[in-house]
Amino acid sequence: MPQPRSSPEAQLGLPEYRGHSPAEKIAFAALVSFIVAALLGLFGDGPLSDTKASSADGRIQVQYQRFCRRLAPQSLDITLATPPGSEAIELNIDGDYLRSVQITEVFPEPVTAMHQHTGRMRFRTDGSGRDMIVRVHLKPQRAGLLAARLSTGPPSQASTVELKQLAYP
Amino acid sequence: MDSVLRAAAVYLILLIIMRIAGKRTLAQITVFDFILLLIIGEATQQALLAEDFSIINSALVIATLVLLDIVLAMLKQRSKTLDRIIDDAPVVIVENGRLLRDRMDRSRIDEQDILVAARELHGLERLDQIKYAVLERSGGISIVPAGSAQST
Repeated sequence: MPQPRSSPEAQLGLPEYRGHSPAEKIAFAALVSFIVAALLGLFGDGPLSDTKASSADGRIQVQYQRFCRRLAPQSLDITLATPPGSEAIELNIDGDYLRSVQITEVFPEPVTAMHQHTGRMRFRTDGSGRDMIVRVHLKPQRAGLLAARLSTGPPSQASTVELKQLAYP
Repeated sequence: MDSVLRAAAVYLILLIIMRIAGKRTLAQITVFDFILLLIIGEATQQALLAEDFSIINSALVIATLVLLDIVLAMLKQRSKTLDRIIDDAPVVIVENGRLLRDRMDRSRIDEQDILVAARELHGLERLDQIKYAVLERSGGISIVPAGSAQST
Protein backbone atom coordinates (compact mmCIF):
# COMPACT_ATOMS: atom_id res chain seq x y z
CA MET A 1 0.00 0.00 0.00
CA PRO A 2 1.54 3.36 -0.98
CA GLN A 3 2.34 5.63 1.92
CA PRO A 4 0.78 9.13 2.02
CA ARG A 5 3.08 11.88 0.86
CA SER A 6 4.88 13.55 3.73
CA SER A 7 4.86 17.28 4.38
CA PRO A 8 7.52 19.54 2.81
CA GLU A 9 9.11 19.93 6.26
CA ALA A 10 9.54 16.17 6.53
CA GLN A 11 11.49 16.16 3.27
CA LEU A 12 14.41 17.88 5.02
CA GLY A 13 17.64 16.20 4.03
CA LEU A 14 15.88 13.56 1.95
CA PRO A 15 17.43 14.49 -1.41
CA GLU A 16 20.81 13.57 0.04
CA TYR A 17 19.66 10.67 2.21
CA ARG A 18 19.32 7.35 0.46
CA GLY A 19 19.48 4.89 3.35
CA HIS A 20 22.57 2.73 3.58
CA SER A 21 24.93 3.80 0.84
CA PRO A 22 27.32 1.29 -0.79
CA ALA A 23 30.15 2.96 1.12
CA GLU A 24 28.37 2.29 4.43
CA LYS A 25 27.78 -1.34 3.48
CA ILE A 26 31.43 -1.76 2.56
CA ALA A 27 32.49 -0.15 5.84
CA PHE A 28 30.18 -2.47 7.79
CA ALA A 29 31.57 -5.51 5.96
CA ALA A 30 35.09 -4.28 6.74
CA LEU A 31 34.17 -3.92 10.42
CA VAL A 32 32.80 -7.46 10.56
CA SER A 33 35.85 -8.81 8.68
CA PHE A 34 38.15 -7.02 11.13
CA ILE A 35 36.46 -8.68 14.09
CA VAL A 36 36.39 -12.11 12.44
CA ALA A 37 40.08 -11.79 11.56
CA ALA A 38 40.81 -10.89 15.18
CA LEU A 39 38.83 -13.90 16.42
CA LEU A 40 40.85 -16.13 14.10
CA GLY A 41 44.05 -14.70 15.51
CA LEU A 42 45.28 -12.40 12.76
CA PHE A 43 46.02 -9.66 15.29
CA GLY A 44 47.21 -11.69 18.26
CA ASP A 45 46.27 -14.90 19.98
CA GLY A 46 44.06 -17.30 18.07
CA PRO A 47 44.25 -20.36 15.85
CA LEU A 48 45.95 -18.54 12.96
CA SER A 49 48.57 -17.09 15.27
CA ASP A 50 49.47 -19.96 17.58
CA THR A 51 52.28 -21.98 16.10
CA LYS A 52 55.23 -24.16 16.97
CA ALA A 53 58.80 -24.31 15.68
CA SER A 54 61.36 -26.99 16.30
CA SER A 55 65.05 -27.53 15.64
CA ALA A 56 66.05 -30.18 13.10
CA ASP A 57 66.97 -32.67 15.84
CA GLY A 58 63.96 -31.77 18.00
CA ARG A 59 66.04 -30.81 21.04
CA ILE A 60 64.48 -27.38 21.24
CA GLN A 61 60.86 -26.53 20.47
CA VAL A 62 59.12 -23.19 20.79
CA GLN A 63 55.43 -22.43 20.98
CA TYR A 64 54.78 -18.81 20.08
CA GLN A 65 52.42 -16.41 18.37
CA ARG A 66 53.05 -15.42 14.77
CA PHE A 67 51.14 -12.19 15.31
CA CYS A 68 51.60 -10.08 18.38
CA ARG A 69 51.17 -6.47 19.43
CA ARG A 70 53.66 -3.88 20.53
CA LEU A 71 53.78 -3.49 24.33
CA ALA A 72 51.28 -6.32 24.81
CA PRO A 73 52.25 -9.26 27.03
CA GLN A 74 52.94 -12.56 25.30
CA SER A 75 55.02 -15.63 26.02
CA LEU A 76 57.35 -18.14 24.43
CA ASP A 77 56.99 -21.71 25.68
CA ILE A 78 60.35 -23.33 25.08
CA THR A 79 60.77 -27.08 25.48
CA LEU A 80 64.38 -28.20 25.94
CA ALA A 81 65.55 -31.80 25.80
CA THR A 82 67.93 -32.33 28.70
CA PRO A 83 70.61 -35.04 28.54
CA PRO A 84 70.26 -37.63 31.35
CA GLY A 85 72.65 -36.94 34.21
CA SER A 86 73.28 -33.31 33.28
CA GLU A 87 72.91 -30.74 36.03
CA ALA A 88 72.25 -27.69 33.91
CA ILE A 89 71.14 -26.64 30.46
CA GLU A 90 71.67 -23.44 28.54
CA LEU A 91 69.25 -21.46 26.46
CA ASN A 92 70.59 -18.83 24.06
CA ILE A 93 68.48 -16.09 22.53
CA ASP A 94 70.02 -13.86 19.86
CA GLY A 95 70.75 -10.26 20.79
CA ASP A 96 68.76 -8.63 17.97
CA TYR A 97 65.58 -10.21 19.26
CA LEU A 98 66.38 -9.26 22.83
CA ARG A 99 66.80 -5.64 21.75
CA SER A 100 63.30 -5.72 20.24
CA VAL A 101 61.52 -7.12 23.27
CA GLN A 102 61.41 -6.62 27.00
CA ILE A 103 61.53 -9.83 28.99
CA THR A 104 59.27 -9.43 31.98
CA GLU A 105 59.61 -12.88 33.55
CA VAL A 106 61.31 -16.20 32.97
CA PHE A 107 60.02 -19.35 34.62
CA PRO A 108 61.80 -21.28 36.02
CA GLU A 109 64.23 -18.62 37.08
CA PRO A 110 67.64 -19.12 35.47
CA VAL A 111 70.64 -19.80 37.69
CA THR A 112 72.67 -17.34 35.66
CA ALA A 113 71.77 -14.93 32.89
CA MET A 114 74.06 -12.79 30.78
CA HIS A 115 73.85 -10.76 27.60
CA GLN A 116 76.88 -10.44 25.37
CA HIS A 117 75.67 -10.21 21.77
CA THR A 118 73.58 -13.23 22.70
CA GLY A 119 71.41 -13.66 25.73
CA ARG A 120 72.46 -16.75 27.63
CA MET A 121 70.43 -18.30 30.42
CA ARG A 122 71.49 -21.32 32.40
CA PHE A 123 68.87 -23.48 34.13
CA ARG A 124 69.36 -26.16 36.74
CA THR A 125 67.94 -29.57 35.77
CA ASP A 126 67.13 -32.62 37.88
CA GLY A 127 69.27 -34.94 35.74
CA SER A 128 66.37 -37.24 34.91
CA GLY A 129 66.65 -36.56 31.18
CA ARG A 130 63.07 -35.40 30.92
CA ASP A 131 62.20 -32.38 28.80
CA MET A 132 62.33 -29.03 30.50
CA ILE A 133 59.79 -26.32 29.74
CA VAL A 134 60.86 -22.71 30.06
CA ARG A 135 58.27 -19.98 29.78
CA VAL A 136 59.53 -16.54 28.78
CA HIS A 137 57.05 -13.69 29.29
CA LEU A 138 57.86 -10.67 27.17
CA LYS A 139 56.54 -7.51 25.57
CA PRO A 140 57.62 -6.47 22.07
CA GLN A 141 59.08 -2.97 22.20
CA ARG A 142 58.67 -2.14 18.54
CA ALA A 143 56.23 -2.84 15.75
CA GLY A 144 57.27 -4.76 12.66
CA LEU A 145 58.87 -8.05 11.86
CA LEU A 146 60.74 -9.64 14.76
CA ALA A 147 63.09 -12.52 14.06
CA ALA A 148 64.51 -14.69 16.81
CA ARG A 149 67.07 -17.45 16.95
CA LEU A 150 67.05 -19.70 19.99
CA SER A 151 69.57 -22.40 20.62
CA THR A 152 70.67 -24.87 23.22
CA GLY A 153 73.74 -27.02 23.70
CA PRO A 154 77.45 -26.32 23.18
CA PRO A 155 78.31 -24.02 20.21
CA SER A 156 79.78 -26.88 18.14
CA GLN A 157 76.64 -29.03 18.47
CA ALA A 158 74.03 -26.36 19.09
CA SER A 159 70.42 -27.11 18.23
CA THR A 160 68.88 -23.99 16.77
CA VAL A 161 65.34 -22.92 16.07
CA GLU A 162 64.34 -19.75 14.25
CA LEU A 163 61.05 -17.94 14.45
CA LYS A 164 59.49 -14.82 13.00
CA GLN A 165 56.77 -12.69 14.54
CA LEU A 166 54.82 -9.73 13.23
CA ALA A 167 54.26 -7.12 15.92
CA TYR A 168 51.39 -4.73 15.22
CA PRO A 169 51.61 -1.17 16.52
CA MET B 1 40.80 -13.07 19.89
CA ASP B 2 41.21 -12.22 23.56
CA SER B 3 40.45 -8.53 22.99
CA VAL B 4 37.21 -9.25 21.12
CA LEU B 5 35.97 -11.72 23.73
CA ARG B 6 36.91 -9.35 26.56
CA ALA B 7 35.08 -6.44 24.93
CA ALA B 8 32.01 -8.61 24.30
CA ALA B 9 32.00 -9.80 27.92
CA VAL B 10 32.32 -6.25 29.27
CA TYR B 11 29.53 -5.06 26.95
CA LEU B 12 27.23 -7.82 28.20
CA ILE B 13 28.09 -7.22 31.85
CA LEU B 14 27.50 -3.46 31.52
CA LEU B 15 24.23 -4.07 29.73
CA ILE B 16 23.00 -6.29 32.56
CA ILE B 17 24.26 -4.02 35.35
CA MET B 18 22.79 -0.88 33.82
CA ARG B 19 19.49 -2.63 33.26
CA ILE B 20 19.42 -3.71 36.91
CA ALA B 21 20.48 -0.25 38.08
CA GLY B 22 17.52 1.33 36.31
CA LYS B 23 17.13 4.24 33.97
CA ARG B 24 17.89 6.96 36.46
CA THR B 25 21.46 5.81 37.09
CA LEU B 26 22.46 6.87 33.59
CA ALA B 27 20.60 10.15 33.75
CA GLN B 28 23.38 11.91 35.70
CA ILE B 29 20.89 13.47 38.07
CA THR B 30 23.33 14.44 40.80
CA VAL B 31 27.02 15.17 41.03
CA PHE B 32 27.52 11.85 42.80
CA ASP B 33 25.75 9.95 40.01
CA PHE B 34 28.07 11.62 37.54
CA ILE B 35 31.12 10.66 39.59
CA LEU B 36 29.79 7.11 39.85
CA LEU B 37 29.57 6.95 36.07
CA LEU B 38 33.17 8.17 35.78
CA ILE B 39 34.32 5.46 38.20
CA ILE B 40 32.40 2.82 36.24
CA GLY B 41 34.07 4.10 33.07
CA GLU B 42 37.50 3.87 34.67
CA ALA B 43 36.92 0.34 35.94
CA THR B 44 35.59 -0.68 32.54
CA GLN B 45 38.66 0.70 30.81
CA GLN B 46 40.90 -1.47 32.98
CA ALA B 47 38.88 -4.56 32.14
CA LEU B 48 38.79 -3.76 28.44
CA LEU B 49 42.45 -3.03 27.83
CA ALA B 50 44.17 -4.98 30.63
CA GLU B 51 47.92 -4.43 30.06
CA ASP B 52 47.67 -4.14 26.30
CA PHE B 53 48.03 -0.51 25.26
CA SER B 54 48.66 -1.14 21.57
CA ILE B 55 46.75 0.78 18.92
CA ILE B 56 45.44 -2.41 17.34
CA ASN B 57 43.97 -3.51 20.67
CA SER B 58 42.15 -0.19 21.07
CA ALA B 59 40.85 -0.48 17.51
CA LEU B 60 39.66 -4.03 18.18
CA VAL B 61 37.89 -3.09 21.41
CA ILE B 62 36.19 -0.09 19.80
CA ALA B 63 35.19 -2.08 16.71
CA THR B 64 33.76 -4.89 18.83
CA LEU B 65 31.71 -2.54 21.01
CA VAL B 66 30.38 -0.65 17.98
CA LEU B 67 29.55 -3.85 16.12
CA LEU B 68 27.74 -5.31 19.14
CA ASP B 69 25.78 -2.10 19.50
CA ILE B 70 24.75 -2.16 15.83
CA VAL B 71 23.78 -5.83 16.01
CA LEU B 72 21.79 -5.27 19.20
CA ALA B 73 20.00 -2.27 17.63
CA MET B 74 19.09 -4.43 14.63
CA LEU B 75 17.80 -7.20 16.88
CA LYS B 76 15.78 -4.70 18.92
CA GLN B 77 14.19 -3.40 15.72
CA ARG B 78 13.05 -6.90 14.88
CA SER B 79 11.97 -8.02 18.33
CA LYS B 80 9.74 -5.82 20.44
CA THR B 81 10.24 -8.17 23.39
CA LEU B 82 14.01 -7.76 23.27
CA ASP B 83 13.58 -4.02 22.85
CA ARG B 84 11.42 -3.93 25.97
CA ILE B 85 13.85 -6.11 27.94
CA ILE B 86 16.89 -4.02 27.08
CA ASP B 87 15.56 -0.48 26.90
CA ASP B 88 12.35 -0.75 28.91
CA ALA B 89 9.49 1.56 27.94
CA PRO B 90 8.58 5.19 28.67
CA VAL B 91 6.27 5.50 31.66
CA VAL B 92 3.92 8.32 32.64
CA ILE B 93 4.60 9.42 36.21
CA VAL B 94 2.40 12.52 36.44
CA GLU B 95 -1.05 12.80 34.94
CA ASN B 96 -2.86 16.16 35.05
CA GLY B 97 -0.84 17.30 38.07
CA ARG B 98 -1.42 14.04 39.97
CA LEU B 99 1.62 12.01 40.99
CA LEU B 100 1.45 8.33 40.08
CA ARG B 101 3.22 7.12 43.19
CA ASP B 102 3.46 3.41 42.45
CA ARG B 103 5.23 4.08 39.15
CA MET B 104 7.48 6.69 40.74
CA ASP B 105 8.46 4.30 43.53
CA ARG B 106 9.27 1.57 41.03
CA SER B 107 11.54 3.95 39.14
CA ARG B 108 12.99 5.47 42.33
CA ILE B 109 11.83 8.98 41.46
CA ASP B 110 10.54 11.57 43.90
CA GLU B 111 8.53 14.72 43.48
CA GLN B 112 11.62 16.91 43.49
CA ASP B 113 13.04 15.14 40.43
CA ILE B 114 9.86 15.96 38.51
CA LEU B 115 9.79 19.57 39.66
CA VAL B 116 13.45 20.02 38.69
CA ALA B 117 12.67 18.77 35.18
CA ALA B 118 9.58 21.00 35.01
CA ARG B 119 11.56 24.09 36.05
CA GLU B 120 14.49 23.37 33.75
CA LEU B 121 12.47 22.48 30.67
CA HIS B 122 9.47 24.81 30.89
CA GLY B 123 9.97 27.15 33.85
CA LEU B 124 6.99 25.58 35.62
CA GLU B 125 6.67 25.99 39.36
CA ARG B 126 3.91 23.64 40.50
CA LEU B 127 2.66 20.17 39.79
CA ASP B 128 -0.77 21.39 38.70
CA GLN B 129 0.96 23.15 35.76
CA ILE B 130 2.03 19.74 34.46
CA LYS B 131 -0.24 17.77 32.19
CA TYR B 132 2.08 14.78 31.81
CA ALA B 133 5.52 13.94 33.10
CA VAL B 134 7.10 10.96 31.38
CA LEU B 135 10.13 8.98 32.47
CA GLU B 136 11.80 8.34 29.12
CA ARG B 137 13.87 5.32 28.11
CA SER B 138 16.97 7.47 28.36
CA GLY B 139 16.30 8.05 32.07
CA GLY B 140 15.37 11.71 31.56
CA ILE B 141 12.00 13.18 32.52
CA SER B 142 10.05 14.99 29.81
CA ILE B 143 7.27 17.37 30.71
CA VAL B 144 4.08 18.23 28.84
CA PRO B 145 2.76 21.48 30.39
CA ALA B 146 -0.92 21.84 31.18
CA GLY B 147 -2.80 23.71 28.49
CA SER B 148 -0.67 22.35 25.66
CA ALA B 149 -2.49 21.08 22.55
CA GLN B 150 -4.00 17.58 22.83
CA SER B 151 -2.47 15.29 20.27
CA THR B 152 -4.84 13.16 18.19
